[in-house]
Amino acid sequence: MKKEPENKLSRFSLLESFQELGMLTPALILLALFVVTPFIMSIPLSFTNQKLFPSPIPVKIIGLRNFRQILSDREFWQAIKNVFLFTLMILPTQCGFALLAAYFLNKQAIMKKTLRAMFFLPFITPMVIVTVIWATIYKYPTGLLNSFFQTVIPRFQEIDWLGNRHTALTAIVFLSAWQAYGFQMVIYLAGLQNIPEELYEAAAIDGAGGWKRFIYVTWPGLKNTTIFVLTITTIQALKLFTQVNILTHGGPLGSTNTLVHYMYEAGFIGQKIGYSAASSILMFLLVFAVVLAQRLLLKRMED
Amino acid sequence: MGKRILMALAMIIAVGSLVFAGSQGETQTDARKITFMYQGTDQFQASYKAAVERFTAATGIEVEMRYAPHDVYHEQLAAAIAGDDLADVVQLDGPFLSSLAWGGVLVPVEAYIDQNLLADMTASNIVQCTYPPDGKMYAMGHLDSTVLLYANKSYLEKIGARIPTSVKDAWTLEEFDTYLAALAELPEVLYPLDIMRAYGVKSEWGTYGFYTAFISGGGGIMDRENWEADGLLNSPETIAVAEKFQEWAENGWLVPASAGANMVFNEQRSAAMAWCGNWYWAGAYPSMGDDLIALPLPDFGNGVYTPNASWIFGITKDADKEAAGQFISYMLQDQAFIDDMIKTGEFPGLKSWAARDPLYSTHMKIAAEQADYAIARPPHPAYPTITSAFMKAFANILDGADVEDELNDAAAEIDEDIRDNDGYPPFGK
Repeated sequence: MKKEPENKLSRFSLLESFQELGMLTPALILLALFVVTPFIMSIPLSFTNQKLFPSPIPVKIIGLRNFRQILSDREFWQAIKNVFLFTLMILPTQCGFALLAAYFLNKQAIMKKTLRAMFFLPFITPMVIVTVIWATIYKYPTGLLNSFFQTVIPRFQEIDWLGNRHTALTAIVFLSAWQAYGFQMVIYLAGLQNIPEELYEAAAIDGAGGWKRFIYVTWPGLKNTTIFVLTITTIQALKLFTQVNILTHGGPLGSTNTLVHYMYEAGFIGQKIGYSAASSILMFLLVFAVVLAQRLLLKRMED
Repeated sequence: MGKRILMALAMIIAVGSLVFAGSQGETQTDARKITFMYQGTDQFQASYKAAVERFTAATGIEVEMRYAPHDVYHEQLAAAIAGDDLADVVQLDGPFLSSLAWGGVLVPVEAYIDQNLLADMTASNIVQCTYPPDGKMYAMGHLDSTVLLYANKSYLEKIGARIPTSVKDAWTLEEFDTYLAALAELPEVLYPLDIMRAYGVKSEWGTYGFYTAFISGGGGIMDRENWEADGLLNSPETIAVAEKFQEWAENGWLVPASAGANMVFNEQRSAAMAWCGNWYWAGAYPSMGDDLIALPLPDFGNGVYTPNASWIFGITKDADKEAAGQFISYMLQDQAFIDDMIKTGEFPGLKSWAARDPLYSTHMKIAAEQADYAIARPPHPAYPTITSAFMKAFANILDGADVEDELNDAAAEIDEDIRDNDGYPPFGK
């Protein structure tokens, strides 16, 4: 008699894991086909001088030459520096904005659904369109942002936001954060709804105010959500490309060049596919190391 | 239940194979068909479509059109080559001809093109279609191009500038420099010169628009004897021209990238001159009228040299070459198609077109004259690397980078690519 429910449970979990596998399969197939396979194929390419356009000279194995060239290229190191800077700037901006928006929407009673949809809108707008819109905001000398500062600050000197190497990367940070925060916001919203109401009631009875409730109830309750959000945002940030390719092509003076853009330029403009493949492998190793380090760090904080 | 599913499956298979058989039968009876890969503005696309329809009506040969956007055109062409899905007729930007001919993608076209059309090509057009190692034509074109200075006449009159009427009396660098300084002082002028930084560094403009200025200054990108960049791209003459452009940028005389490409002809007329291709006229003239004048590019010391080349048509190695040649010959001699080109102010690469084009015998006479001063971009298979390295260096120089460092780096990058490819034989021999 006692054994029966156990049996049922294990049969149920077997069925469940079978179902899970079934649901994962389409995604796994697509990932294997369009992400894993090309990556594996790029490993042998990275040791050759393969060109984009066909060549009458047979493709040669050139050993580690591509890697040596990349590692001694100051543009590559500048791209790495830019990507890290970008990530460091966008993590607090985008995640902070997402958390604020989620916190506000979670409490909001009227027009709940409409407001949520509105806040989510930038995320479903394609990056290309968002970029073009922001280009008019940043336009020099007559763009929206310059006009705004001119009205607020008397004798404000217009800034060429995207044409100045000290402001270009920051300008791209804000544009990117605005476009993508919707995703993190939805995850935070789900996280907020998972925090039991009783905890807030108990905190209220203990006399905790709004800020204290946030610090001692909401924030710890969102720990796992935050870890997930940070990891996702980091990976996304390290892959920065579209905005840069449309707005600055990596300039001015390489101040907005990124790893993916570096790879793209080598492969599609310079037509050096082998070289480009080698830089993609270096980028994979880098992203892998960063995410692993972040994971370990956050795990330790958890314990 | 099971039986029903089986029945349904059998039905699907039966219908499917019928459809398949049908489509196979269709291709057998199908007319001759070629594929055509192209790019261009909406107007160009419409012209191509109309010309293709007239061609099909006249010959019965069908043309499947494959559009690719301008900015990613060569990437998509490369993808088509790699995927073994290359169109029979492909459009390509002139300077990429050497790279594609060297790689065996394109075949010599003269045997497949109408003799009358070949005889109608201008000298500059023949140059852009010719692959130097064997002197054969690997493409066919009707378009050419040039780069001019466009100026606001009333601003020039205000500063008392000399207005050249022929390429022979083009401004010297000293004159140009003085005029820029004087224009900068005019209260209505925000920027004396727009060099179209809004086009971005990736659009080929960075090389196309400016390589002849370096040649005019006694420098250049590549030595055309030994096919090396080192020694010319970082020569004192090249450095001097680059420093001049950098000086203008540092003075705040050049329209910045984010300001757009219409500063000369916008309502405020905030820029005085534009350094741009022949297509600029069609955009600026409607709002400026006769206040807009076209002038030759300045002489940087060694005589005036001007850019050339445009988008041309090649026949690919596995194509139905007769049909492809027939299509190109038909379209480029189709007068309704040429009328479209005249309407949009395109630059003629055919003598018969130049003779009946009102624009190039009046306002843009200088442009037609400049064709005699044209010099091609380095016709070398390493051109993709050459242009990418040069554009990057030039953009960085305009943004204030060290001129010598940038040009040394670019020269090294180009020569390294050439070494990596064993000198691209038969070049360098």
